[in-house]
Amino acid sequence: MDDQGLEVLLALAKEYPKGFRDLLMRVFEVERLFEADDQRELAQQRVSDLVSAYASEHASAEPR
Amino acid sequence: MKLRRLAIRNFGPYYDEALIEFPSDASRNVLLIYGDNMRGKTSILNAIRWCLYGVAKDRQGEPLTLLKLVNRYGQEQGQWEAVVDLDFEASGKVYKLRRVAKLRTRLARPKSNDDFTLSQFLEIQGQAVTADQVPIEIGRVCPEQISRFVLFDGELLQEYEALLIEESEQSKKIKAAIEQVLGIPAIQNGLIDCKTLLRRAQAMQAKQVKQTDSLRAQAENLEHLQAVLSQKEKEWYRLGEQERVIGGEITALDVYLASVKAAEQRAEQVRSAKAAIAAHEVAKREAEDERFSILKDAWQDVLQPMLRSRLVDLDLEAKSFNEVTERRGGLAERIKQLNALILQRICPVCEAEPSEEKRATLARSLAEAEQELKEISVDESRRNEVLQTIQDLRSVGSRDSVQRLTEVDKRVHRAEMGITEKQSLLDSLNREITSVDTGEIAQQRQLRDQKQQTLGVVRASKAAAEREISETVSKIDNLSAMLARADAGRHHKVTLEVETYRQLGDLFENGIAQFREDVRGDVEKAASEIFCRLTTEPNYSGLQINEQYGLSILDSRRHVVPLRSAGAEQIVALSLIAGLNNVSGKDTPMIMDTPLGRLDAKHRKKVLEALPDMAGQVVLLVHDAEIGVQAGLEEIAPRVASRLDIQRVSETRSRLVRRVE
Repeated sequence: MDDQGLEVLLALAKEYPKGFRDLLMRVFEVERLFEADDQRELAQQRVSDLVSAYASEHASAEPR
Repeated sequence: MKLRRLAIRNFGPYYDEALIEFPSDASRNVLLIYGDNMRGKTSILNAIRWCLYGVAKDRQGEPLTLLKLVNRYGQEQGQWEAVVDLDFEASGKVYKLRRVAKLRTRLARPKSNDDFTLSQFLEIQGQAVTADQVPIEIGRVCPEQISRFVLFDGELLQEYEALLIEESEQSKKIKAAIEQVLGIPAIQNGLIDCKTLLRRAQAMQAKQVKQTDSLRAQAENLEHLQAVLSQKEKEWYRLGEQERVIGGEITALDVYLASVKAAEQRAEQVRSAKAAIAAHEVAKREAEDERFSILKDAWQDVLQPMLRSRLVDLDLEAKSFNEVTERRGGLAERIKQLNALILQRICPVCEAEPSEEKRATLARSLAEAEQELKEISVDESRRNEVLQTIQDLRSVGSRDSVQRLTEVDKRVHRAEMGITEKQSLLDSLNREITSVDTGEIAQQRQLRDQKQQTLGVVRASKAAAEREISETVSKIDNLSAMLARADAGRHHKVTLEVETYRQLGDLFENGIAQFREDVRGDVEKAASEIFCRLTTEPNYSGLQINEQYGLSILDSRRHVVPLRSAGAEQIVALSLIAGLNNVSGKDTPMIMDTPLGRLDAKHRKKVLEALPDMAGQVVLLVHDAEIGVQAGLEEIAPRVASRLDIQRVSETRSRLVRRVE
């Protein structure tokens, strides 16, 4: 069922670049690992790290 | 999750260790545990629940205190330590869980849960887990919210009816549990986390963009809006906290009022018991008065043997008086006749003149009769005395005192028994009732109503704050997007972060709706298939799911069947549980207490045929009437791994033994 959740998200993100879809998968994995209410801060820190790394990687490559 | 072994000691009716080995073979995955009522079937369900979550419940769903959980025989022996061990597997790892309740030191007898210490120990793959991590690990394997789909009472499945009632508290809890089973929280949390991180990134964006002169005003506006949002969010949290506190106070008042209601009911029972005692006391007093009255005349019964003897004598004497009187009457008549004969000259028989000899004979007879009449005189005074005495003695009749006393004693005994019984009930009720102050109750009810009104105001304010937050967030997002476009790459890392969080947030938001829609469809399909297998009504075509995961039965024209019986309710609930297990992909066991209680024979047969396929392990706590040797067993027999009997040892003790057929 967890995979089905990810499948739904990936289907919605099918127009997005692969890098973003990979990020989405990693963020979903974090959320699945830290599902409990008392783990929100930990999950947010991990997601923040993932997005920061993604932005660093793509910022210069995809100037806006 | 696969259960391996359960060991129960001094818990429920199990004083000595009760050991259950769960089925390990997928083709024989059913364990049948037989027990008559009150022997300890529900205690097995409760032992698992208590070991996992520290809670055991009665059939009303109310938590049971440790005083009720510790074995009564153990309590009599001064043994207050209850232990439950549960071994299971999950994700390829072996878990060994133990929960222990112990009496605090220096206490001889506990009065409440506070007098116990509770400990929980967990080993995963032989490695001990720290105490604070134990609930987290248990939550990962089988969260308490989803345990209602694992451990349940077949007769209480109608609680799923609450799913059909939109916005009921029970409905919300069950929906949350279902969504937890289905894995929706991961996406929900993704949305929450991305939104939170988006706000932070937007703050960073404003700070950085402000350095560009041409965008400073917009950036400052963005900062202002963020400050406004922060303020409104604080207000929203404050209102939320207020809502939580007031809600808690209302719940506490509800609990108090419910307990008072129970106390009021107890008070009514007390009044009734007191009235019954008073009635018994009146009956006892009346019986005792009657006994006194019987005893007052009982001397008559004591005298009866002597009276009877005396009466016999007096009757004989009276009889002799009568005989004498009759004799005297006879003699007087004879004298009269003899005198008449003597005076007559002609014999009335032969019409001849009597001879002298004959006359002499008549004269002799007359003389003899007169002599005899003189001799047998009656003492009239004595005779009257005898007759009066007889009359007096006869008036001293038998009182049947012994029999009447026996009856009265029985009535007194019955009244005393009634008093003792009601007094015992009264003592028990009085222990339960501390005090029922009607004034206090009225005050608390009024307070609850006031709190409910305040809660309504707080909720309205919170809803208004939510609208303002939503509007502010919309403004922030628009301004942030405009700044990103205008910034044109000068601070593009933070801009990209903002954009990424927004996109991730949008995906999670849309994903929740999509995922819910998908899983609802999957649950509906799986539950419908199982329902069609279980139902005996050929016109039913399946089930229809609603937003709350409530299921309605559809007829052959796909119209909702408006009314359904308790048995149909149970079938629908079973279909939902099996459908959830099927869709969630979580291999959870199913432990059902009294699973077939509401079902007729045909449904019972169908459910029994389907149950082994509803979960990886199926444990059925049944009595012989549900799955007996005569009927029921044949449907399930090929899938049964083992059968256990709960045997009575004494009123307070049961034991588990392997069933021998």
